[in-house]
Amino acid sequence: MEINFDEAALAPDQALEATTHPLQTSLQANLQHIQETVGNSTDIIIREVPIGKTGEQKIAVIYTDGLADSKVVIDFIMETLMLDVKQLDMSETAISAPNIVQILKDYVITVGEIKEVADFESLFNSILSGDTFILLDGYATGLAVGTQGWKDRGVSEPSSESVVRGPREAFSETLRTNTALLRRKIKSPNLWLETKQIGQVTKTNVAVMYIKGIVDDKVVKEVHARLDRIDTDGILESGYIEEFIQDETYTPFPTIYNSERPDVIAAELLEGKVAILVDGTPFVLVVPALFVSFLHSAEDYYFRADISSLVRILRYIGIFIALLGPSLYVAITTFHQEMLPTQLLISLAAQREGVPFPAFIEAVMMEVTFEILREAGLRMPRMIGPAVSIVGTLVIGQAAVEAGIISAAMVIVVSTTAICSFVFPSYSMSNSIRMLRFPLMILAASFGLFGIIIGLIAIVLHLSSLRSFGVPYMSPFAPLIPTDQKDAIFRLPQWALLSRPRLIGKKNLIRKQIPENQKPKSRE
Amino acid sequence: MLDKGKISTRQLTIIVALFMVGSSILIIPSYLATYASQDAWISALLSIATGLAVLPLYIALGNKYPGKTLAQFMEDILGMWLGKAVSLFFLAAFPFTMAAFSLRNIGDFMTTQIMPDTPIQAIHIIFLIVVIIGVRLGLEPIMRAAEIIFPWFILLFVCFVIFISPQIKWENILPVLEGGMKPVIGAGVPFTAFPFMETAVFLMIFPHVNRPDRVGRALFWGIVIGGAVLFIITMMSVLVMGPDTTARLIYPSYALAKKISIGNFLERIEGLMAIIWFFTIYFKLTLLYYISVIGFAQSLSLKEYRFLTIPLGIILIVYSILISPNTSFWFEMYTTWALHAITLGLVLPALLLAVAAIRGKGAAKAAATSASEEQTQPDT
Amino acid sequence: MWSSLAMIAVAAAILKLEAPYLKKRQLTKELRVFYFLLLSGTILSIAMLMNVELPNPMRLVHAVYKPLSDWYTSVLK
Repeated sequence: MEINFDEAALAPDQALEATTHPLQTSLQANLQHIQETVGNSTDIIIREVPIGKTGEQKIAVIYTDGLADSKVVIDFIMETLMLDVKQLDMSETAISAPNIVQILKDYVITVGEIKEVADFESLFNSILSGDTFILLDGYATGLAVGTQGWKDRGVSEPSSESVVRGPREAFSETLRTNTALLRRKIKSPNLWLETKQIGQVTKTNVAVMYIKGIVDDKVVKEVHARLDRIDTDGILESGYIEEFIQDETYTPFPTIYNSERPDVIAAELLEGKVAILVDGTPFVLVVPALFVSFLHSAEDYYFRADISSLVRILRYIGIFIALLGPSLYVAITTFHQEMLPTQLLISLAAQREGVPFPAFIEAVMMEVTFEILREAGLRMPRMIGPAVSIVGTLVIGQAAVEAGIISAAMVIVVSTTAICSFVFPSYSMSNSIRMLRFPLMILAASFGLFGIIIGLIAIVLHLSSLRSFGVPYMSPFAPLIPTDQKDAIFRLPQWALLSRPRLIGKKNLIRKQIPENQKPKSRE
Repeated sequence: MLDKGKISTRQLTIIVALFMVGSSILIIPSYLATYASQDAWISALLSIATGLAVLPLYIALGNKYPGKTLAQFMEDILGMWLGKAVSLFFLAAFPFTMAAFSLRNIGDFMTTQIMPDTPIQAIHIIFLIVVIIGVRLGLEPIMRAAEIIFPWFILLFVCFVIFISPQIKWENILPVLEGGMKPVIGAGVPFTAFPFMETAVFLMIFPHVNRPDRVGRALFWGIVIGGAVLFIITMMSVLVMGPDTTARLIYPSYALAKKISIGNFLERIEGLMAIIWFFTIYFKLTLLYYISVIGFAQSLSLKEYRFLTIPLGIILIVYSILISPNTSFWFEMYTTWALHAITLGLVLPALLLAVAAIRGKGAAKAAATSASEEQTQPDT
Repeated sequence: MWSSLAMIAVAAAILKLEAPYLKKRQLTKELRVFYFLLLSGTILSIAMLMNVELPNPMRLVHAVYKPLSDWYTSVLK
């Protein structure tokens, strides 16, 4: 089939439009149209069979090799159609029964999911999703039979969120596997699932899951509204959807949480949030997302309360160091040297003696080098990895210090901030913090501590103005909700976590458990 | 409504406390010690009490016109043209001037104590940029930011007090009432005026509070907390440095911070302590600027206020540099400014209340109908 | 000289930033107020940059209240 590029460029929708018209009654006409549209793609298998006792009814079975489970197609469709239906006398029943399509659908095909379809768009949709399509000669309706089964990565360990204690299952790239994983965690019939297709060309399946009765219906409606507004050609990853539906584009902070662990998503659903699963990626989105969600890890709930509280406080300290580390160093060494204890000051001054650059330039150089190293490390083939890390640490760190290009203290500061920036469970948030370091450094270099404070105030203001699907981003800190403090910075023991976050689980505040029975009796 | 933000009573308390501390924390101990020497702390207590005593006036005025800010109900009380004129005058003479004053405070402080080589305009511009960001975002984000920053302010302040307390010399406040009550009261009245008469500007914020019946309580606690902070700082200054030194210094709190010396390594951290007043001055300035801009927009019945922030900002910077040729100008103006503040902060509201009462039913009915029109949607 | 030009450039930038929004929503009164304020602000700042002696409103306040303040301090002495 010749492709006219100009036509395709000028009217891209026209190719798609052609598929929305209804099926025709002639089998050959339908088949020809299908072949034309897919350009005789060799993985779309079309098998024409005559069925019935005398073979008078011609049907065609169409499926995509690789997407449809061949075993199901063979055992349950081909076999039933070719062998079992042979017993049926088509001409006889054709008089008394409504139509063959109905018979096939109701009595013959032994697969669970089956639908009647009468237009080409749904036909292509179902074939290209892995269903098998049955076309009958003389009927303008066909049957789409659910036979999806392709090679999947399977349920494996999470790549970006490992824990010491807790389940090691992660979502996979298939939507159905993911919804099943969530259903395994939450066996309530109130866990509702709604699917849509987003993306004109990719037609990606996107599922919205929430627990009815706990979730705020307004949020669900808003999620649906925003998803319906998306008008693009392709959705390849949940990140695309995130950018389309987030509240505000011009912010370094993520307002939609994502995770590849079913237990984390299940916990969020229990709080009254909405999960958005996208076919083709293991990363599931959760809305509404608060600042504190990005600082919570699943492990916090699997370990004891006191350890978890301490670890969380450690994370908060980590944020401050990650954000302010280089800036404080630059500010203090440039403007406020008197704050350092005398001995430290002398040793720092000695280190900086031979260094040609001012502290700010040093800091920027080191930070940028580190960011390059980090990014390169992600893309590197596994073989070269160890060699390059040796290069990174020894050569760049040690040798640069000895060559007198940067001071040793700077290396310490940059490495500490780098390590601290990875203390966040959520990679999106650590990206934001890392980005914000640079403006703060510039402010620190120009105005010292004053500049840092001004920058911090600006950041806090910005954070305070963010909302995620209607919920203020910084709750429960501001507006201060005392009852939610039990799970923000500290974590009280499980028997004390009695209520859901107030602004999210408004409808159903109390987690269903009886308080008095839960608290363990203290020793006499 | 120009700004549909809603704030909680807790947020109001916090912002009032931060506001009261504001720029006063830098200079008040010096004034008090100048006039009342070692009895400065008694002065402080009296002034706080007086500041609280006039609270009912503001509450009464605010309650007469629920849902309306000061700029709006001035028109109801004084008629359209006189109301607009007085409102604009009030805004220029009180919040806007105080904003310029606060900005100048932080600018002076920075250029004389911390970064002498920086031109004062740079400090003003940088500070004001973040203020403008805050005002443009609206009242809610400002209040939420205050809520987040308030614990840090308290933490730093408590650390400050703890670190400096080993150096207290109790004999510095003796003899008590050496000069009798006169100097105490004399020092107290200007202190009452600045900052406590400035409570009047909060009349512009009343409509935004989501529980109007608790506004009085929020203001009360805000003034108590703010006043307590100022009282403690004054006490500490006198106790540690003595009344004469305190009176002589322009920024006694900063000098106090310089004296911190714990275990031979926690020394010279006055920069960290200065963060306390960066925060308080920031919120005072932001609130004052917000009030000025909103009030200006309301007086002229404009439908938008954000575009005003930058042009008025330029004028504010010029004003703040203009406002005093040198730092000591304010020493002269201490009592005159206090009288000015009392006029606009006490006499004017009292007059307005009186006129409103006289106009009686007419004013109340107008307020009731416009209050029902002004119903705003409650926010999450 | 240069600072005044810089000031005008800044004012022009502010104009470009804010005016289109107001024009689009046809807020003519707001637009006039904006122009007036921007103009006064620019003029005042250029005056200040050129070290022109601008009147200080606080002197007026000081002058107005001085008699009262003097009486007050005399009473206390």
